[in-house]
Amino acid sequence: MSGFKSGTAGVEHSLVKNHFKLKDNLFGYLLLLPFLLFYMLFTFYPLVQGFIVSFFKWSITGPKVFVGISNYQELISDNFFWESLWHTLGYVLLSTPIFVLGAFILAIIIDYKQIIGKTFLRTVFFLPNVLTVSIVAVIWLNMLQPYTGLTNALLHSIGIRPEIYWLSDKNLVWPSIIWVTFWWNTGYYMILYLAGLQEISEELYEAAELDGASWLQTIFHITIPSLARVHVLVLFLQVVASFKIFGQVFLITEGGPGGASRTFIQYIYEVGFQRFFVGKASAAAFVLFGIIIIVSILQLKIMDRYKD
Amino acid sequence: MKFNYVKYLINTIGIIICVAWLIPLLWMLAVTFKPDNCNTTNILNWFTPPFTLDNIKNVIGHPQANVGLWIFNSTIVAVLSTFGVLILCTLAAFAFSKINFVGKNFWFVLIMAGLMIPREATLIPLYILFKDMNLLNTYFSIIAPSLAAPFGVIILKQFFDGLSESLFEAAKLDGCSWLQMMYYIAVPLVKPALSSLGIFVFLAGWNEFLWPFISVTDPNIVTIPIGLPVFRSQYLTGQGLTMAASALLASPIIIVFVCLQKYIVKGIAMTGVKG
Repeated sequence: MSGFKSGTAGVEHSLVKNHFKLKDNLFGYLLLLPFLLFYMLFTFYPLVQGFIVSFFKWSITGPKVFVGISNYQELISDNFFWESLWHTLGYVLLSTPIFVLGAFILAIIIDYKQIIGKTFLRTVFFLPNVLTVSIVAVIWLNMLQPYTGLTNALLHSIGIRPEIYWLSDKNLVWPSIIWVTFWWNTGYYMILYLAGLQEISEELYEAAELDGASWLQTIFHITIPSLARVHVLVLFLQVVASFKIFGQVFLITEGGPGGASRTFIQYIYEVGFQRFFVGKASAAAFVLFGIIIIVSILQLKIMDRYKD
Repeated sequence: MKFNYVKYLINTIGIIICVAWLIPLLWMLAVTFKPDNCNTTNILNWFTPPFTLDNIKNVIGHPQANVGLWIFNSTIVAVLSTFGVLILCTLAAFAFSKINFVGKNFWFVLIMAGLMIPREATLIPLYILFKDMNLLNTYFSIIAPSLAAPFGVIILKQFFDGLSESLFEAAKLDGCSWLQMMYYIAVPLVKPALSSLGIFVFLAGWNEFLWPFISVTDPNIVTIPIGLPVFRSQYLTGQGLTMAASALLASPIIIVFVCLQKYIVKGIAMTGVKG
């Protein structure tokens, strides 16, 4: 520590310039080192290691055998791989428009000038977001149960008589999951929209009002175009999050009925941690990584256009 | 004056969504505090006696539901990872923002690239790494992978960048070391950013599911997100016990949220800045 103290004597810049440079380098790396250590060890190294392992046959305990691209070939001929990938892709395509639109609507409700109980509404809409996935799963597992769940009871009370098997009907399981995730996560995107709404100049709305524009017209002609950057941000955050969907599905349906809700992460989990095909699971993980990289690069490219 | 139907329409929609959002949570409370033989699927029954604490008592006394321990472990994990992230990210962000060192751009790009690396894609090697280090089933193993958070560095660097250069020039002339400049000038000025980031990280740590789910097998370090599903899987049919456990486990974070709402919302809005 004494080193920092003695350096403070070098006030005369020109004389000790090189000395300062060396100190800057030293101190810069000293500050960066802890972060870099954890980053390299627990993020970067596992990524590289995963890529290498994806070319080996390995069951954690046994010997590693180099097999070239055969893990990837095995994936391509594995029906479960494609099935879980399609499920996840279908979820991405179905849920994204609903989530983006839903978050936008929640935000403009709260941002509406004459809304009553603004803060309370914001609190309630965001509240599910702070719950852990396990609590969300228990609540909705009970909510969606036939005969004992509240969802069907409420539907009965408004005249919808048939008993609906939300989680064991393979046509209803994904809509159920989308609904649960919508309830759980939309508040987060809503907050991003609200932050974006604060930045739109009030004068725009006042001018439009003077011109006799209706509320709906101001939404379409001022609000929606002004939020272009936020739309893109929410869209991509949601797409990336959706490709990684796992927890709520696994805890609510365990991938059922009959594998109808098996997600891509669940596939990786089953292959890697239940059947111990470490190489094959790593190959699948790399496919996911590839998808997310493509989506992220697309995001960077598009976001770049909205930089001021 | 014309009848303002837009106002009534929007307020009505707001109230309907609000009720729909609250019903699952209120039902959780109803099932928790009503006796098992009471029909809680009728909302009218929620607000009238009988009420009972039996479900709560049963959960607390249940040998397989270590609610207290799970809350304790989640607190440890969330607090330690919050401080860890804040310290690591502050140091790195300050270096990137204020100090010129060789290879600065290279490291910054490498860390930015980390935003695109999903934890889900590195789970298997991560598991093997901790297994080889003999560190599985430790608090460290739960926390360590999330400490080096690239978005934390990026957000804090933006805040450090916004601080006037003349402050640091003056401090330099007064003979301040980098360490002193960081501790006495930079950090106090970005405190709001640090607290928002801190709360965001705390929430993420408290709720983290996937990595502990895969790596933790020792019941002594089980956190809320992985404790509850194991308990639940034994009582598929009993609503009272599992809902009471959920209500108990949800209460700390809901209280924290209601108290710190302002900062949480700010923290979330801030993560949008990174895009």
